[in-house]
Amino acid sequence: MEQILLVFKNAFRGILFARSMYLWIIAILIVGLQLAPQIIFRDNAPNIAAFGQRQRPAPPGMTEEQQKQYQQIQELQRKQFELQAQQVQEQFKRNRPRAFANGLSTWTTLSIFFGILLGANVLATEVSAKTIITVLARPISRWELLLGKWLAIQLFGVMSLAVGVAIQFAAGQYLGFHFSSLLWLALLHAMVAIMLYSAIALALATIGGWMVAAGISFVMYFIPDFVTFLKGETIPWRHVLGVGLNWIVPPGFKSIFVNSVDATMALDRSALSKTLLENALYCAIFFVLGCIVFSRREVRLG
Amino acid sequence: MSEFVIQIENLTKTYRTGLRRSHVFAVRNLSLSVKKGSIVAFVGPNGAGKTTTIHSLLGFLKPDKGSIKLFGQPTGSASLRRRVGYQCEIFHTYPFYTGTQALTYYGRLAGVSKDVLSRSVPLQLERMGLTAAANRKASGFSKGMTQRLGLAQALLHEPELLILDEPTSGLDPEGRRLVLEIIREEKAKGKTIFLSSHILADVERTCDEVVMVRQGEVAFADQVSSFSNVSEEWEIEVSGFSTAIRDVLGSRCSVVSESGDTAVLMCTSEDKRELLKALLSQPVDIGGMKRRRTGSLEDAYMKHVGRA
Repeated sequence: MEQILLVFKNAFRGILFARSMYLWIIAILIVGLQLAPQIIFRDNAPNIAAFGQRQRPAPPGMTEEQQKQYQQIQELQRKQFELQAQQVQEQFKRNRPRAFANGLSTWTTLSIFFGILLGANVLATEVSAKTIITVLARPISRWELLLGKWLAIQLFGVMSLAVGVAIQFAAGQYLGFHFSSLLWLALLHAMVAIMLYSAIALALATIGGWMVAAGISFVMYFIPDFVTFLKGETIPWRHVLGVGLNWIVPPGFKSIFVNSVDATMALDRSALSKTLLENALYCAIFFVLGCIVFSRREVRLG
Repeated sequence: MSEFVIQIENLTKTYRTGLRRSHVFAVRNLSLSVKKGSIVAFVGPNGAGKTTTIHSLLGFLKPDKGSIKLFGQPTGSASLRRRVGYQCEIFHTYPFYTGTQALTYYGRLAGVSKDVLSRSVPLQLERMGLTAAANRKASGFSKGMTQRLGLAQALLHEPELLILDEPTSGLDPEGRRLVLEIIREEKAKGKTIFLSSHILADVERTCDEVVMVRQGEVAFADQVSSFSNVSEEWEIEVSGFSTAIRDVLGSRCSVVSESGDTAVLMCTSEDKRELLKALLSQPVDIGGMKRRRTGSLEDAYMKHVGRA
């Protein structure tokens, strides 16, 4: 246990030393762009009615009766436009919490990507810097080394999520909306997803280079929906491929942040629990496989 | 308990290289053993298989054939590694650690308690001449300082066996001397030391045995003391030497080399007195005389391992 803690501290220090927190700046920029309209138009939602305010003069050559009718039509159009604008404004304000919930989903997705990058890199960096040789000459098991490093990534993941939630909470306070207690469940899903994909990247990094490990992990993140689609296909080979992939590919991250701001959204709790458990199980399987491979492989330094 | 700390028998290790993934022998049927309490040097040119052998010893590489035992047990277990201190050829550590932090980390990994480390880390740093740099980031260390830090981490947990891969490489003469002194001190404490080196002078000064490898095979192995032995034969340098004098001396000596009227004569200790008497009665000058050496480590290296 002490060895794991030592590696964990060392790996976390390494993550911070590699300026990984700069990744948060990228995340803030991306989510900031996504939420910019909601922040800019905080007090007055964009008033598109202004576009309909301009009165066009009646074309020349009209009779007085025709001019009167023209003005009436214009007035009618203006009122209709104002009504539409009012509806847009209301919808914009109503959607504000949803937009922020989606921002939190984006932040979580980026946190998962950071987990993948760190998982793929954390071992490769030790090998390329040749620091691993002195560590492995010590009485430490290789699984302890992997576990310590994986835990360090999880701490960074928790910190990433905490930063994201803090930003969204502050924005929520500023714009006058609140997340329900479902946020905690959503965060649990997010955390399990970070654990899963960083474990996949770390396990793959024990076999090959970090770029291959990261690449395959990203593919694993993006294809669950495609696998579901293949499974539902009637063409036999596609169906078989879908069923086969379904065994390898975990269900992946299902965002429920929107449910934490919109109580009217349907939520299938049993399906959600199943996904959570499956992700946790896949995480354990990939991690154990990574440990087995790493324990058996040779450590060669170029 | 086995008197051998390291026992390697018929170790063979190949690597696959090139597009055709053809096998290249790094080590071939290598056998050696290291007695408890001795310093054994592992000598050979670059690519001879020294580091491959050391990495196989530590369990980083898996042999294709053969067996490796440390303290009489198959290598690879964590409990065995607790008894081994290893310094790699070029020591690499984490750039964010200071000297003290790096040693504390490696010491803790080796199972040494915080209390013990709080005393032993400053002592090791002082021993390596690194006290002034104790709180400096290791990334700012010179090559020599890094190497000494590498040796310090290998010694921290008081291992019974020290495996040192080129411990004096990259060191200035002062650092080299310091490291050789430390190696001798560790031997005096009863530790077994297995070191690889290119510097034959260091081997002659510190080691008990030498194992020379060439192309992955043991080419030569002997006691280092055998190279410092002087024989019972004497060499006498004579000026004004001629064929007539050679006839006078007869079978009391043989001529080792002759250049102009200067010759180096060789005789046994028994014949020395008679030969000198005979020489003094002749019109020659005796330039000097010395015991004949049986050969140097360098001669043996060039003979068994060198390309010539």
